[in-house]
Amino acid sequence: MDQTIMIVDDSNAIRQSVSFILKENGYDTMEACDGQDGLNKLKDQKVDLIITDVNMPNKDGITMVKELRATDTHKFTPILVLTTESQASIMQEGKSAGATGWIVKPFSNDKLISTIKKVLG
Amino acid sequence: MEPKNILQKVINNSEKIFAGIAENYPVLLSEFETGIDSASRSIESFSIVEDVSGGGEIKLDNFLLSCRQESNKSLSMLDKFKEQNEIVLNRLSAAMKEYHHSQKYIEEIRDISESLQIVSLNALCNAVKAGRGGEGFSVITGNLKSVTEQTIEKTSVLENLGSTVNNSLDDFFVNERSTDEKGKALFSEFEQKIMSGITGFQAESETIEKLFRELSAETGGIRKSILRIMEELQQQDLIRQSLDQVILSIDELPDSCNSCGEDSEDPVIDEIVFYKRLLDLAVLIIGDVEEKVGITINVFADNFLTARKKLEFIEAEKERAINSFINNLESFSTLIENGNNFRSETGVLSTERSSLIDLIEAIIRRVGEIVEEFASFEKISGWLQNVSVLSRIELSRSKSLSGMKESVDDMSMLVERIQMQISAGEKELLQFIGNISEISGEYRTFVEKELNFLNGFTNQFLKNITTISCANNKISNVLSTFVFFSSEFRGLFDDSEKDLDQLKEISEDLKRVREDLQQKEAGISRQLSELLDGKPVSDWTIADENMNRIINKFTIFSHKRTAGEVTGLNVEGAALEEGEITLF
Repeated sequence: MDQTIMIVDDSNAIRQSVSFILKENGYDTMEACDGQDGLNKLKDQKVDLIITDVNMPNKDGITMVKELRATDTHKFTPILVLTTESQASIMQEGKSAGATGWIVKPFSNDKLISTIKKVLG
Repeated sequence: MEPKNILQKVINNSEKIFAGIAENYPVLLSEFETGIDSASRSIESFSIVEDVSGGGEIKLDNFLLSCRQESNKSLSMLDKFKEQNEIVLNRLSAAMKEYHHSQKYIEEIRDISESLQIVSLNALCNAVKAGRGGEGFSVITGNLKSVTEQTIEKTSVLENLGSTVNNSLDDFFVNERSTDEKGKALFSEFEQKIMSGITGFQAESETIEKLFRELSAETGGIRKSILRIMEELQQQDLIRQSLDQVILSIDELPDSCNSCGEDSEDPVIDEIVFYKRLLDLAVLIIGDVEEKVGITINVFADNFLTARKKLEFIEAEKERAINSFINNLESFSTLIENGNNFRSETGVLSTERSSLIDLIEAIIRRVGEIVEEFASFEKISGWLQNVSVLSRIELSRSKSLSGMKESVDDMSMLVERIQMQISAGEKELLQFIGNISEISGEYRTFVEKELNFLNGFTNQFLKNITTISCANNKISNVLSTFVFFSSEFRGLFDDSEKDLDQLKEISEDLKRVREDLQQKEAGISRQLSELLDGKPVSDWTIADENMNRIINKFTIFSHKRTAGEVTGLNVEGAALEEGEITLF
């Protein structure tokens, strides 16, 4: 069975482009347009990996990570933060919130896929 | 339009462009892959042919290989037939020598008969001279003269028959050689025209298949370019956030003026310096966005150009290959024509071979007649024996004939010789007829085998030619409808190029805003220069609170750092590189 990856980003273009790359590499994808939408969709939904942006309306990515880590369903789900945020202190916030990794945009598709493979083991 | 409004328009447009690309490119790629899949299936179908002999679908190269193997095998089989034919002909030639030898007996019989005639004439003269005592002898020699005349007459008949057989045998050899030469020429032509036609067809079909496979592999470059453009979509996030920060800065300008620190020695200058620094910052960020948009435009342009060049190259190569193949169709129809000619020529060859069998059988019949004629010599031989015995009796009875003893001895000796010649001649003719009957049987069997083989070979060959013709038609049909890129793909591809123009418009808008802001900044700088009376603006310190509030809202760290450099505020912290990956 294919592995499922949730993409949380307020940019439709980014969501679609990441989704396309992941599908090209054999993953199933789900999409949410901000942190709150992500939480709602992931409430009772198990996924293999979550990719999230940081700066989003309604709820930012770091808060969403914190809240997901508080749930039984996503306590251990790998979460990669895919963001324009390049400030090391913000990355530390993400780490404290429970993120698995931090990728600064723009990234290459190949690097993204190899990181996902590494994270998913 | 106000700079803020233009920037908002740029944000909206870039979102629209990038969202459009994100939506269209997967469709474009999907169309691309559908086209390539369909092209690959078409290419695959080149190599599969329907065997009209009932062998079902087979691979074209295997089929052509087996055609060539079959033909080579058949040609070597024909060589074996030629060898067998040669053996039969050599035997026939040897038998002919025997026959010619048997002809000498006839000549000998005639010569002896002529001698006997002379001897009998002498004897007759002597018998007449002997008077009454020679009367009996005269009758005997008269009979001898009559028998020898008959013998001479018969030898003429036999010589005529013999020369007819000789002529027929000569005809046989001439016709056999001519048929053989025709066969040789036919198969040599077969090798030259048809086999080279098949080889040519195989080479052409392999070439076009190989080229199409190479072109199919070339399409990978187009796919790579499309994926690279999609990678560039991430810039939209950076553009949007950067321009949001610029708008934030511009938005802050009027309100901030009122909140300049009360402790300032000159609130008016503070406000103007604040304006200037915000404008400096906005100009720098817009410059950064312009640079990013410029890179994106280059990525789009380079990859589009690469993809388009590849696309056009593939299409041109495809057309060239198709035209070359279609031009060669003419030579393949010649191949089919040659195949049909070959069938009718082998038919002629079969008829000629059959008529040669008829000829050899006619020869056997004729030799049979010679043998029958020869058999009548036995009767003559009996008469001559009688004449010889009677002559001796007469010689002993009449003393007046004593002078004829020598003639009677000669007569007896000649009779004995003629009998020997008749006996030996008959024996050799019988031997010859036995041999030629055997050879004729072998020749008939050989010809029947050869004709059966030729029929089988020709039929199989014609089926193969039909299969090749079908394969040829199939490839032509596939080629006439062959496309690497569907019209949908071409349409989407051409439409996508418009995105580039829109990105260029965005770049122009950004430039306009930057220049506008730079103009404003220049005005402020002039104003400040007057107010500061020549002192450098960088020395002027203003309250940090408002600037900090704005900078803290920045979501791109590199811009925060730029802001720190412009305002002199302390922006601390390490920065990550673009594309950097950190796993915790």
